[in-house]
Amino acid sequence: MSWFSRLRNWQTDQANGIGIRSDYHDSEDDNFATGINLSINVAGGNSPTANLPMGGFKHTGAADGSASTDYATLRQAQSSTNSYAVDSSGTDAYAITLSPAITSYTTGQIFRFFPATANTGAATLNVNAVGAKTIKKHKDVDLSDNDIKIGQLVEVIYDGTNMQMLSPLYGVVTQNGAATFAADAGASDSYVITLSPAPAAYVTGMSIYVKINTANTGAANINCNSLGAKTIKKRFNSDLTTGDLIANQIINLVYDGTNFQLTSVYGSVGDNINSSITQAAHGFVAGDVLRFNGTIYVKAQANSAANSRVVGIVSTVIDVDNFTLTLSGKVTALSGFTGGDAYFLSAGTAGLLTSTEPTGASEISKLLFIADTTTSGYFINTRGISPVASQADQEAASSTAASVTPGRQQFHPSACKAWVRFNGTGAVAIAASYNVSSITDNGTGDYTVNFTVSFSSANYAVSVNALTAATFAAMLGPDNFTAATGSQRFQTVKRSDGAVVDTDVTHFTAFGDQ
Amino acid sequence: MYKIIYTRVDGGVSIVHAVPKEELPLTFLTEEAYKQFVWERSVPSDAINPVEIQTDNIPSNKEFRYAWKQDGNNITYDLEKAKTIQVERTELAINSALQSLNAELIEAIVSGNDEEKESIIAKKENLKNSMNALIALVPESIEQIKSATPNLEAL
Repeated sequence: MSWFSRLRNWQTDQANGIGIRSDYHDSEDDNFATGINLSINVAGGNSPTANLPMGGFKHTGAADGSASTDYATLRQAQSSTNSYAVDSSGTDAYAITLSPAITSYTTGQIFRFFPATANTGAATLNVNAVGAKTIKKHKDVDLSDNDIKIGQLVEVIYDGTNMQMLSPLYGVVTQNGAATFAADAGASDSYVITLSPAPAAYVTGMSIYVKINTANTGAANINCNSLGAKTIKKRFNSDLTTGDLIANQIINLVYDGTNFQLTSVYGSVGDNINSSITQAAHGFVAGDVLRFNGTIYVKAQANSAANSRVVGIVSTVIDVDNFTLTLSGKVTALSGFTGGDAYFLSAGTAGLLTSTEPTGASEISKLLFIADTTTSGYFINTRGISPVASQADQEAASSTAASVTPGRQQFHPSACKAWVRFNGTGAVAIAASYNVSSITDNGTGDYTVNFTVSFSSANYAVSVNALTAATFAAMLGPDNFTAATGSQRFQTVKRSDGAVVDTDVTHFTAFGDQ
Repeated sequence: MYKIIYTRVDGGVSIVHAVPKEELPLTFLTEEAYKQFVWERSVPSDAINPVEIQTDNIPSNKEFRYAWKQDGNNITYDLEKAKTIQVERTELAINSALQSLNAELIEAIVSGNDEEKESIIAKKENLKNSMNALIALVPESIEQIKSATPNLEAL
């Protein structure tokens, strides 16, 4: 739409013979004046009376706006000078001066500032002296010490009443964890904490840390910010048992929608490894050594391999149906021990520890406990071993459980008790021997073998073989020489004529009981 | 090697040859204790004059073993016994040779070979008399005894 159009066309009038008329000229001039008056004065003398379409064009070279009713240049918008300033006031009473200045607060206004100091608690912001407004966090919570830190860029939004923090609070929650951690102020088994800020309700997945004040004695619960007591469970759905929570321990609980599940380590694991056992009418007392028979826990005993498969020792009897089984580590509150002594699983009494190592046939030697005092010690579940065969075991030669050691194998009846190989010609030369202390040369072909360890009687068996380089000779048997427990005299003779001769190689062996 | 000599009640000499200490489960014993250990097990209670003897003092030739005589920690010979041993040994050899000659003599007689018969008779006579010197000998050494012993192969 155009604001100006000609009234007359002078050439047309001339062609039509119409002369120049003063009224036509006045009307045309009036028309000019009207058109000029409808234009915007470059000196700013008039104002538009309707919206001005730009037709896709822009105002260029505009100055920054300086009043709230001025346009803001793009530069102003980029530099945020209309909403950002450096605080010029003191601690907790922040003040900024924006340009152009605001004259009032409007809900939704966003302000940004660099605080000159950190806050020490509740704080306010005053923009262009319009008025100090309280800065809130989490909608309506006053600031805490150091929520605003010097040098931090703070952004707030006016909610109609207060300035709400938009920028993150400086490390307050992570530094003291007040939102997720609190010290228990309740009693044993009924724990109470107060978190800040206070949670509005229990939420599934909510994770909290609690410093326990008093150890639990059994099942326990926790009440956060008076939202209601919730049971603390371990291993998903098991009630706590005595000693699971100890004083000054910091535990982690996660709400599962119904209960708080204990996710941190519980129990006094520093000194030992325990297992909480529920077994109806178990009948055990502290100090009983137990095995698992496939169905229930029973007292272990070192009278067979199966009975000696120890699992642990009863360290605490909670009640008739519950007890703590220590699998490894320090055990206290016992009795009857001597510090420094080692204790074995008893073969004679089920469940008992004894300082006398089992050594009988079919018994198992199983070292389990080293006492450090009369009432405590260290439980160590070692592998049981079959007892070492004694000399009597070897001589009886009947046990199929005892272990044979090199120092006793010779007592078995099948073992050769003494042997020697020697050259009897010239000076007697002993080539090799076992349990022989010496060979006595009594004359040609006449020798005595002297044993290191004697036989228990003269009823032992001897075998001698001999040969010479010249003529084969064989020992035909002791020649009227009576066997002695500590020695045996014999002769080596020629098979052909019975002549007693020295031999190059003589073998002597003896079997019997020592 | 530790050795002990003693005289038996029957007059014979026994030499104990001990197993070396390192071959016995006794390496923890002192040398003195080891010898005591062997002595207790090797020397009978009725042994006469048991003493330690060095290997060098034990004759390596045991031809006259039963003539050995203990002389403290040395061994000497009972020469009369050695002579007796040599006489008995030689007699055995002579008797064996005589038996062979007897068989030859019978053959010679049967065959009527008188010359052979006489020869054999002579040989037998020589054999029987060959020990006269040995029997008469008053030995002063083993060598004398050996020298007086007839060489039967030469006869």
